Amino acid sequence: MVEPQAIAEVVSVLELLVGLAITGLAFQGYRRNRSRAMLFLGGGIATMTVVSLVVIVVVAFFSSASARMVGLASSLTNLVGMCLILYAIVLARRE
Amino acid sequence: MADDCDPADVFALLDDEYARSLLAATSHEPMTAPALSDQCEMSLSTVYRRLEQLEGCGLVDAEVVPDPDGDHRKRYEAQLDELLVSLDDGQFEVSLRTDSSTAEYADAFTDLWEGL
Repeated sequence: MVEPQAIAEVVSVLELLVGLAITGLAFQGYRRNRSRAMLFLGGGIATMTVVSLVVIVVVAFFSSASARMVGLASSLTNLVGMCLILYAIVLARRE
Repeated sequence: MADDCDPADVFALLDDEYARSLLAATSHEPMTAPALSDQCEMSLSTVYRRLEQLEGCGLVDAEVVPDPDGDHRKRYEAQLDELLVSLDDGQFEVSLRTDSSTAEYADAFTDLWEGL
């Protein structure tokens, strides 16, 4: 029987890898096409995947925060990421 | 970058108008020498001479396309994405970044996003 915890960890790693791949493409797109919209899009995706996961790990394991605090930290990180993506949409219209 | 290529050769090639137009023309798709001669409006011998120099420095790559008539033509493609010139301890160094396979996807992603 596979532990749900183990599945959750595998899924987290996959999320991190796919997030890194999309972030990498966005930053390459920014570098190649001098597109600031892609810079912010990459930043937003990185924040919602990589940074979010790092925040969860740091808050959960290196502080005595409750599960609710971990959830809040994760939500706040995602909020920042979504704001970056929203700004990337605005920039894409402008450029 | 080809090992036997001197940075000065690369600078000379990039200074050359013919070499630059050949690079530009082959950056979209592989082309044969006669097609390049047509498109870039230069003599076939100039095309071959420049292509040989460009190939020597690894700036273009040639592939042989088998032809049903038995006439095997070489098609040339630019291998230049970004060129980095660095000066370190009195030595010029030129390093070539070639188009990676992810570059295509990154460009498509950018087009998609900017097309919003």
